[in-house]
Amino acid sequence: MEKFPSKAKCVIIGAGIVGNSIVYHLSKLGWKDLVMIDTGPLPNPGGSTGHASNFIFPVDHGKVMTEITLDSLRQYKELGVLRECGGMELARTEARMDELKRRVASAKSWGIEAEMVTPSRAKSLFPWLQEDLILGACWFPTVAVVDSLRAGTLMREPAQQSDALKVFPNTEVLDMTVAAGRIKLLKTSRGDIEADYVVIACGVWSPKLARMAGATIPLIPMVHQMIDVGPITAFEATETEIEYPIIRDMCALMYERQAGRNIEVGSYAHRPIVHRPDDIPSIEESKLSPTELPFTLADFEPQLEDAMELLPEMLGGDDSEIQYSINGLISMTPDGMPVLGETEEVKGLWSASAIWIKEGPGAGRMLAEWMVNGVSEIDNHELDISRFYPYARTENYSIVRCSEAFNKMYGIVHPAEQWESGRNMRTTPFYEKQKDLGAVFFQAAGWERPHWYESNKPLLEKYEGQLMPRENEWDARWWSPIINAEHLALRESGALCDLSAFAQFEIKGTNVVDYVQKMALAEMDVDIGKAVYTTLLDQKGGMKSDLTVIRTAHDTFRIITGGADGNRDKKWFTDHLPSDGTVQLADLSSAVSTIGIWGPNARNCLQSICSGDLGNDAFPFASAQMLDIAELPVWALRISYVGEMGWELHVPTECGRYLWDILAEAGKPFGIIPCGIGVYGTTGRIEKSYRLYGAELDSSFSPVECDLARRSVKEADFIGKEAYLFEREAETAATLCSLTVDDHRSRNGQQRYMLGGEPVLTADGKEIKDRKGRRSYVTSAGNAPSLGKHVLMAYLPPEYAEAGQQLKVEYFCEQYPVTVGVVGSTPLFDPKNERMR
Amino acid sequence: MNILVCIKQIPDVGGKIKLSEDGRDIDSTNLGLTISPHEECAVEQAIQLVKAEGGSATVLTLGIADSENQLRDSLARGMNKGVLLHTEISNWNANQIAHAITDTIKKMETDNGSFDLILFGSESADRGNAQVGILVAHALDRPSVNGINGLEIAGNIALIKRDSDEGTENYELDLPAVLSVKDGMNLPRFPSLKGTVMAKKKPIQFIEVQPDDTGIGFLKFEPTPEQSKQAVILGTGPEAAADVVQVLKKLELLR
Repeated sequence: MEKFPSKAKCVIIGAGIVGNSIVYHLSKLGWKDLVMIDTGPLPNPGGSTGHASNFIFPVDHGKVMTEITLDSLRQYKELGVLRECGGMELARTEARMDELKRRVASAKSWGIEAEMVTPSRAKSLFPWLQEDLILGACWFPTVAVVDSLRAGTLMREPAQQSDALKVFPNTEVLDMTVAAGRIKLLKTSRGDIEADYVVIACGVWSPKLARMAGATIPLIPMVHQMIDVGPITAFEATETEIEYPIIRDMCALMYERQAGRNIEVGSYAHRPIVHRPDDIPSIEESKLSPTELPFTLADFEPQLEDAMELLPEMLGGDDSEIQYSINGLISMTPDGMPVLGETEEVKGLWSASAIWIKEGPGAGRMLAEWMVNGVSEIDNHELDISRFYPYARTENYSIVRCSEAFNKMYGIVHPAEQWESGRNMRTTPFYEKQKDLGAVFFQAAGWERPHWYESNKPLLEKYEGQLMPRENEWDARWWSPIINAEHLALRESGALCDLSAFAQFEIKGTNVVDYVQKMALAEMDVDIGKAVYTTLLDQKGGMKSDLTVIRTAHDTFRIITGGADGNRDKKWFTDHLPSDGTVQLADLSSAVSTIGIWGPNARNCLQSICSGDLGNDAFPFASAQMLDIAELPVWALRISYVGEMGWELHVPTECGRYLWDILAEAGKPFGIIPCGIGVYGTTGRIEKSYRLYGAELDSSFSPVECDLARRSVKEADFIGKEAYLFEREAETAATLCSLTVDDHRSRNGQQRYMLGGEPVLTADGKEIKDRKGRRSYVTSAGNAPSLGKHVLMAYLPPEYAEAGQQLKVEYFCEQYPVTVGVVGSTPLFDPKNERMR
Repeated sequence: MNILVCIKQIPDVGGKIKLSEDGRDIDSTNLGLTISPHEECAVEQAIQLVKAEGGSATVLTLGIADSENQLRDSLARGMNKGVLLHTEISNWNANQIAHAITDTIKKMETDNGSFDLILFGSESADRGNAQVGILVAHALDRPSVNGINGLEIAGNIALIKRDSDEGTENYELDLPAVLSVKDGMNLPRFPSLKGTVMAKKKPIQFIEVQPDDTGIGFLKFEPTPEQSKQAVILGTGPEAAADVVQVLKKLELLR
């Protein structure tokens, strides 16, 4: 073996599928002087790659995860380690049949082959199925099995051969040294090594490694039980690893997959079994490997019966022996997504964790591009480690969330479904008041936010006939007609809305103007008191964020961004601060509580408790001032996300409760009610075609495409400017449009309401793809009660982006007619924005 | 034919054994629990004999409540019923175990008639005392052979083979007899899915037992001093060949 180097550009810890993929892509992108180490031997160092079942179902309800999976499939195929065998998801219940129909819609949205099949067709694909047990199945012809260990070797070797990479198995990391906030050195069992970059790709061990440097990777190892049964007589003639489709018995939360002459039976049905990273045995102490822990039969016993019931001939015989059984360790995270990116705590220390076989090569490419170019081709915001706020970074938080998530792995999860664990961790000063009003809390960035108030139930009577009631249980789940009533009350008189989940940063310093100019697309050198809504771009011109920037002094700006994006945005801003300290960022998110007041009566109401002039001349739209409201000093920002005149009122957190009381009292004579985020985030904004980051906006779309480009381009340089200029001149591939549903009636006569993510199709039901290969799908869906319409937003290529264009949207395998209402950002409701003046 | 097989729950250790803090037990926090390979062969033998000859095969263990899992595993493979001599006291010595088992066998035989065969593993994989089988045989005054490699039943006689350095020893024993079985006598089956499900419904009799004050005491385990096993890497690929030849010559494997 080569001498262990004392220096490297980048050390990659972990030689599983993820580490190998990263070294492959880093070297392909031109990085040299890479060192890969692993505590275990090669080619199987003993992590989760070594015991994975290695099958890949490409479909996921999430766009980005599907894109990464498709990229991984492509790479596995290129490496020659992929065998397409097809796969089926089975439904034993009606609810699951519906879920499979939803899977078909997602598959269509992301471009994956999928089709609903009858039980007899399912049986013809896998002849040993107990046909009468199922109501139907979803058939995915492109499901595949890969050899992930071989793939790892094939990815590692070219990097070694081109002298870009040195590999050291059986090398343990003992400690890490950080200097001035940056990773400096690793102590290993072979000696010390200095590195500019370190990537932790250690799967279930990642949190333990991160801790050596004082960083956190929110991940917890959990047990996934699997048995290997054989010999299976039916597979005797089989000459390859797999010839029959993989079965996912979704209702039993299990899978069955041929493995040569045997069949693997895996389960996500057992109790959640957490295994702290510190308790994982060493390689020497392990009977099999550190991630193949002893099987606990009692946890698996009910699943044995489910499996035998489904495949009685195959599994029910005396000779179907359980030849191997493990409690395999897998990586789980609090939100079920991988953890990628530079750690918040230590510069140069990157996480590539919680990545499964199906994502390995794609995630490796994403991380390598991100490290080398600062951006990745596939949007990474949902995977970015900096999405985790400090409250979500403790081990116990991971434990409670992942324990709750475990049995949902094959579950039917509603897009708005709320967590039960990890609640009430962040509450505003209004929380108790809201509880008294019967607020139904949804969580955002850890904050408890009222989604609607049961106290507004009397409004249902008042607005009867305009509430767009939902007959279907799925459509109505996590929803209430009270939201629409609150919306109509907002439009009629006004409403108060708790906005304390905003993330707010103060940016200050002598070079602040240059800095803010560099960060934002819009002109930032504005008058003091001016508020500017702007997008932030990444280096390739994709959207990094959209937020409001307010100049509060000659050398100070306030940034207000969405709770969901706050921690990620904070890292983006922090990363770009000048190194000379001439600009500083302070996080005010927890220091400020915010209430929005909007509606036709908002001004009069506020004026009744405020001595300042609130008229248009004294306090114009898109500006901020200090106001005295009753006895309180309040920082007021005249802006709106709901399309009504009004203000965001910001006070120190300790004054929040007092502000609530004043406003609630003052609002009464003006008919101003409290309203929830159901209005602010969906009905109010969708009537106004306002965009939401993570729904309409992400780095795979440009400001031109979502119609947030400015009329002119500012002179100052900013991140992504070059790409932005190019995009402005180029032919637009797709434009964000607002569509309305023309007929909601399903085949069984129910009125159905899409919730988002559905494929948008041509009038004759064909999929729509733009010239960049992106499919049209519903980015956001919501009622527009003032219009009496259900509105969908979607990017459409030029040939379809035309007002009046008739299209279709597919929902639970039925197609509904829709019409393009507006192309671009013109609102459907109050298109001239007269109500905001 | 009525057969009793005695098994013992032991930790399924890897290459390196971790001891509990007081040194009196193997730390099995992250280890599976199993039985000795010898005992697996005894269980297999009993299942095969009962299948061929009819009768019933009972599996017995002495241990903590969790030992039930090992009984269930044997039941899943095809044993008919189980007996758990329950104690929460660890580290019984061979005499104490043998006494408890003997007492139980006597009671069981009074109620249900004699076992034709009582099988043990030749020694447990954790302690390796190789005592209990012989002690039980002696206490019951039955013929016994230890460490057997082959067993056939011909009427009322057990035909036994035992391999030794000098050759194969052949024995003929009148039943009832007590035998301890050596690993390799057969190829033990794995439990089937069906057997595993059915095992849940098979009867297990629980009997509380206490150690008496016979035999030798046990203080604690002490690990042997770690031997330094320094692997020397001579190189990789064809370039290493010359060095390998040198080493082989040094070991006098090549001239």
